Amino acid sequence: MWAALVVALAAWEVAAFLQLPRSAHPTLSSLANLAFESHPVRAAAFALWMAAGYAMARR
Amino acid sequence: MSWAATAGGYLTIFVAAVAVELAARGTGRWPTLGEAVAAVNRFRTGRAILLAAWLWAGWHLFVRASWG
Repeated sequence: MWAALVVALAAWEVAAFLQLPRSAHPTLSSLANLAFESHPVRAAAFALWMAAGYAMARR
Repeated sequence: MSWAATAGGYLTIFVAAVAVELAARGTGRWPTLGEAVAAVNRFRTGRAILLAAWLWAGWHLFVRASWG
């Protein structure tokens, strides 16, 4: 089930990346850039990324 | 496709992931995200892929480089 979701996400991302203009077909990174314009959101996302890395390293 | 349709596609996948996680925690029929990651993490190749994906995500999302 999780593999299907990962594949669906990757396929949607690739489809958006291959289409133009970017303003009409945002990729995850372009959506993230919108959210990360504020430093608190960016810092929280970075902390979440670090926590995910720590959780994976502990397993 | 418009911006809203594309963003809606991402939102649909995210909602589906939350639904699967809630169903996994409720019924136990499917593995939770943590259990799925742990299953991939059992194999050396899986650990390498997860590490590469984590590094890629961090680089892609947080590195701000000016190329000009």
